[in-house]
Amino acid sequence: MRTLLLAAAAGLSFAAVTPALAHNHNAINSVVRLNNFDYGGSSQGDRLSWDLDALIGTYDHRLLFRTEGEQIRGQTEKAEIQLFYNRPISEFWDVNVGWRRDFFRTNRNYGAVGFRGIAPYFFEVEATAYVSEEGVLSGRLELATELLIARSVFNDTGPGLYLKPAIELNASAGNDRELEVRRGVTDMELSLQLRYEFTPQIAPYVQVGWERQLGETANLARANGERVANSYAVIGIRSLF
Amino acid sequence: MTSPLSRRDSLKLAAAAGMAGVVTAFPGRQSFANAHRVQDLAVEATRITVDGAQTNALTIGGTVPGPLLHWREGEEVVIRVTNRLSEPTSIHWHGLLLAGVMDGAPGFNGYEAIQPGQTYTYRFQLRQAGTYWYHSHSAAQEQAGMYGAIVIEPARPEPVRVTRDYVVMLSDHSSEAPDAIFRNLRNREGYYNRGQRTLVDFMRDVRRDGWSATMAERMSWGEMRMDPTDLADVTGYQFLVNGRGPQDNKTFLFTPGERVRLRFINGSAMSIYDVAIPDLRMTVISADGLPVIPVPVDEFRIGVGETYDVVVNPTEARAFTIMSEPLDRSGYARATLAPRQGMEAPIPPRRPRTVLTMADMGMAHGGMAMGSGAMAGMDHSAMAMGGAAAGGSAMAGMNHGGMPMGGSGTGTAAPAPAAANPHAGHAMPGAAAMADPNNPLGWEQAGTPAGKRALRYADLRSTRARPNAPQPSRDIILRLTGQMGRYSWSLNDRRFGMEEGIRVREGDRVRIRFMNETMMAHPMHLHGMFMEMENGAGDRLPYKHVVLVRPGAEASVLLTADEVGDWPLHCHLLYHMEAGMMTRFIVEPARVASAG
Repeated sequence: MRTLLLAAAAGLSFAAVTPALAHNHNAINSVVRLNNFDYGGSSQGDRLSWDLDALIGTYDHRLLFRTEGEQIRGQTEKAEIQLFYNRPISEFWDVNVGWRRDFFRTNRNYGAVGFRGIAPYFFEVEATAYVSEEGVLSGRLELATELLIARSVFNDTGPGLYLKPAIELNASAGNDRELEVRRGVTDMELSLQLRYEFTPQIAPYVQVGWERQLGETANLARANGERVANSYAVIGIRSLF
Repeated sequence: MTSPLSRRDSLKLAAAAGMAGVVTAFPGRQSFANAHRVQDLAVEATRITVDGAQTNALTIGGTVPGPLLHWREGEEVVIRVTNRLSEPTSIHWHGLLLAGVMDGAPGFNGYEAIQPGQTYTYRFQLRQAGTYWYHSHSAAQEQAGMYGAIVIEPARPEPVRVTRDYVVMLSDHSSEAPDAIFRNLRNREGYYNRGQRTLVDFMRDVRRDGWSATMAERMSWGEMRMDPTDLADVTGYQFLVNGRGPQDNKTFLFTPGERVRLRFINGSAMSIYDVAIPDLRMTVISADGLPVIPVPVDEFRIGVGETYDVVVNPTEARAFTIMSEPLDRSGYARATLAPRQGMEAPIPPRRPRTVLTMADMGMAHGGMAMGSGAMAGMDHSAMAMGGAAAGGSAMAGMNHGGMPMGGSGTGTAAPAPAAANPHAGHAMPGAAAMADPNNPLGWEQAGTPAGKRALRYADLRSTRARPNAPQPSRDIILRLTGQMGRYSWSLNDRRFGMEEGIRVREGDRVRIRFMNETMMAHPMHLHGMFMEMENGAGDRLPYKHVVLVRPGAEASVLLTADEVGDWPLHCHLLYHMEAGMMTRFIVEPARVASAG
């Protein structure tokens, strides 16, 4: 009996080191989110814009790729990619550390660090600080929230109608001649999106917005004969793969 | 009645389990020519038809559910399971007392998953009688159809005499692949939740409760970043009875005047049901396989993995609808009891979906500003409970709103709730009478019609009195934790694989306190041993293998660790387990006291 029990104990310790084969709780997961892809008119001419991100990784360690851009009358006004290592730091917050590259006006690399998450009352927040290869510090703050207005009148478990106000602010701690950026708050965008979400994969929307350069950056643009404000109305699609 | 094994028997089995793990490289792959009864089961991918529509399924023995395994207590059974999938699989015998290596949870007790093309031979002696079930314990295969019922006849005749005996196995089936469902849950918070409150609902609530009450209630949820409509993570299910949809209408026959035993098994991946048979009273005679003192009820709530046996005695020659509505009311499972095939009874009015309250977050007594309308459901029901439970259990859930309580890991946490919460986890009769069935508030509210009685956990009393049961030597605190936004579920804030497990010594008598810090109910399941649920039943605590712990509340169980092994202890919501809500309950052999 004693021998058997010792064997049992050995069996147990054997079991304890066997990796769990049933469930891989750190399986790699990936998702591509098309947050905005839209086209329409603006006070400066027809406007195309996109915002897409992709996440790959486990619960604890992820890579985040994001690209955003805007074309007005076929001319690229903004185009950038960002690549982050993303890690959760609390239930509602992640940190991002990585790299950004701009392709508009000039090619510019930045080191980036920031956080994103959900603030109380369901405000989506993303705040990132950048240091450019020219040594200029800048920052970006994005805030958005979503309001579910109604479900389909035919079916209360059907598609939803959402209203999403959002704001983006950019600021710079220094001047960058090539980027035509001056110290201070450089530009902002306000938008309001009305989205009809059939499913998370198929969610068309209409959106109106107002973009404006601010402060010394705006003065510089005016001096160059450029317009500093643009308002737009577009239709687009949001999706998830 | 069924009695758990003697200590000596369990020692022997434990030893055998240990041996199997050490001595044979592939435990269980021997042949058993002398077997008393042999069953072959093949696991294969196929398509099934539910309500006329075809979907993909993984089957055990070719059908969903798998074949009913009808056994007798005391006999030894041999089951040869052949994997015809292209991925590893396993079969776990839910609720059965057996040697760990036969339990069928890969990565535990030396059991390894059955690889494609291979056959594993399970062999164990049946040490109990009652209603149980079996299912895959690999990935999310269970969702795709890998489950079936087990009925074990008692060795000695039962006191319950019935003419007909049916299994009513509830399940949820999706046309989406389980992996896709899990991915969706991880990729978008509330992916499947179509029940969120809208601006229109807000206007309605303002008219009903006033601006400030409605606003305060919305702000409380907003402050916590939580959604009071989050009752089920996954929708889009078809709800099945024995593999049949509501249109298929599975029919159980009776002759008026007969006593019919219905063995309800909730084999769902994610769905908790409220079950009623309008116009027919049910008498609950066993819970999780083992007998309880009979309780007459009109309806009961059944958590994932639980089983209830009820007896009904229909005297009229008419049909009765067996109606099972999931908590999120996104559909229903339906079957019919009738004297003849083809008869139907009306489908009862669909019940409204409840809205969670601050009380479900354990905040009713935390001084949150709440609209009186919103408070009515829970707060009064808490009072109706009487006893010591309300104040203590209400504190359990405060982790979310940024109110830290204790650290991570097992340790002291939270103000000590009443250890024995006699009403943990189920609806209270006072609440049902007081609440508005058309506008239910709070997780407890099943929308029970006025004058009807829902089973409460407190009603369950084992037929076996244990007046001399020893006191537990220690409390094990298991906080049920999660991050809804990331779809990360955990125990004591650790996902499976990152935790250390719980260690007890063989023979230890311990209390496990499940403290639910989330806003979802979690059916907590322990393999290998029964838990004695502390529901206020004195020396007749019911034996359970699954305890449904309601949101923001605490439930506690006692158990004597008499089965050596390393046993899974997990939430039986499939995707919660997938996401990490599991740990090891390790019973280490007591080497010294064993020789006798």
